[in-house]
Amino acid sequence: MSAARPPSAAGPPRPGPLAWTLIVAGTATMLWAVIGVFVEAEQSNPRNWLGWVLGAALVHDLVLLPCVLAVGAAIVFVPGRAKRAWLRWGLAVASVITLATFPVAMRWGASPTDPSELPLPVARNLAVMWAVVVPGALIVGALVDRRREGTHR
Amino acid sequence: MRIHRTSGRRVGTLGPMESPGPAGAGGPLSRANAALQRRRVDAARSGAHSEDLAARLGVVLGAAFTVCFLTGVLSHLHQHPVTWFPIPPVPAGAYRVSQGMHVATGLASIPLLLAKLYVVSPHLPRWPPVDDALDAFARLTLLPLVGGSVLLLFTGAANIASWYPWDFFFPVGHWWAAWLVIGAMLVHVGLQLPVLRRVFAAGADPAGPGEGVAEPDGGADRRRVSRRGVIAFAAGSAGLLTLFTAGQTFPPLRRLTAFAPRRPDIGPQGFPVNRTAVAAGTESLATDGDYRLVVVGPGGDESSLTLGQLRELPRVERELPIACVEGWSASVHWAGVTLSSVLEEAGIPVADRRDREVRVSSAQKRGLYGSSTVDPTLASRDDCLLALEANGEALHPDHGAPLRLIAPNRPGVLQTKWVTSLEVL
Ligand code: HEM
Repeated sequence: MSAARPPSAAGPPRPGPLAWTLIVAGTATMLWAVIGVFVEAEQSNPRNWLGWVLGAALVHDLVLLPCVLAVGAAIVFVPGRAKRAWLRWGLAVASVITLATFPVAMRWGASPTDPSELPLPVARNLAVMWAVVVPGALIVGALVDRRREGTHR
Repeated sequence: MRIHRTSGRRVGTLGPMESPGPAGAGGPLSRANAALQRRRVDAARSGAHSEDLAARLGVVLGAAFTVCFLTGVLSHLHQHPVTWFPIPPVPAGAYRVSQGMHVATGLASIPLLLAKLYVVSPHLPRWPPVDDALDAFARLTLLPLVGGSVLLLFTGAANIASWYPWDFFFPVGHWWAAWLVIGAMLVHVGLQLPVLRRVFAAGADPAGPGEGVAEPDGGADRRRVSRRGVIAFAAGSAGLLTLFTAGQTFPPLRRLTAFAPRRPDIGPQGFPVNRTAVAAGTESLATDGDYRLVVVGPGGDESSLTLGQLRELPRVERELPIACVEGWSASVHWAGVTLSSVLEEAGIPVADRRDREVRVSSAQKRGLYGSSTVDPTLASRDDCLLALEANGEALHPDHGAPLRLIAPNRPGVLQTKWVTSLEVL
């Protein structure tokens, strides 16, 4: 039996000195951050800031994650093991790249006087990326499935 | 033997996990709870939601956040200097590299964070929600950890696109969110040390559970997301995102810059502009025949220089980067005069300004960053310039014509444009 196994019968392991050091230092750092936000209230707008921190967690847990799980649940019905895996990969990769760059693609921050700001056709580039990544992933998955079937026959 | 690794009590990264217990022993609540617990135990064994993968992704994400935090604090110290951490002017491109890394690592953290949250997600719902005081604290601090992390990445990604959908000043909100997240991360690591020790124990299978042939991953349920699937997502999307955005600071990738907010060769005279002359209200300055550079000495005595007088000073040419806080950067060939020679010409010899900062002020009428200070070491260097030309042409109005500051290892917001006065403080 590995020594690394937790003492399951004795309940959860209690934090040791290193753990307590991290917990205390981390809590102090968090408190310092919150105090900082209130001290610089004029620029940080504490209510708005706290709302965004809370909202960010809620939007992830209650909107983004359920959407991902729902798409994942639908993909279960796609036939072919490799096709499912590659389709998931393609959709996930294309979605997260879109999520990370949509503010650039939407150009809400574009300046009327500065053509060097947001100069690239990012929305079009994202569309091209989707058109390559998702069908490409499906094709690769289908080929892998077909090869597997071949070897099983 | 390794199979036991996921059967301990503190299995999930989100807290202790009970064994399923007798199902249906009580009312609907305890039946629902038993189902929940079963799901969590299943999840901890399955490759995609194992503690092993959670810990390994956690280490990668922790490293990425640490890089972001250190480079971010460095950027802060550039803009809010402290005496106990003087930032040297060399290497000239240091800020370009550190802030470029900040934004690139931050963007790559978006898929890493989402992968990590996906891996641990089945461990969040649990009944009763907490076991004891420490567990309650552990669960409570997940809120600043997750909310703060998502907010940091969101504000960063929106800021570089000049989009500000919130009501706080970006650098201040982002700064305190960074401290909140780093604090929550320390707490989280402290609480998860047993898991880290288990996963990274000497002799542990580096591939961990889930990669072996007999694992649920490839065996029991082939319809589920696999451990390998999560890794392929995290690595693939972080890699592609970097490949198609990092060209905004890393020249070899320039041609692949497909999703970045800037391309460093697009703009007047071949490089980007952050605030135009029209936006700053300085469009007439470039052609103003009455332009004077006002120089105020340490004693308050004032003198002024015309453009003609400036042009008669020894001409200096330098290749120096313009490196924006927003992560893009470009190397530019500048020509002009040294700040030191201008002060000398205005009758302020080096001896009179040995330990004094110089405030460089702009004619800019609107917006932030209308002036910056240059420390004495930098002010005396022969690559601390007041530029009159960029890339072989007279400075474009949007680049600060007729005169702008350009000095080594400095964020773009401190390379003051449309300079109209120098003050030795
Ligand atoms: C998508 C990800 C991110 C992007 C695009 C991003 C972008 C930026 C930008 C543009 C600045 C400059 C602000 C200014 O001086 O005007 C900045 C500063 C900073 N960032 Fe980030 N960031 C990201 C993620 C992070 C993360 C994960 C951390 C910490 C763990 C972090 C910590 C900081 C800190 C401490 C500063 C200094 C703020 C100040 O000067 O007061 N950032 N970031």
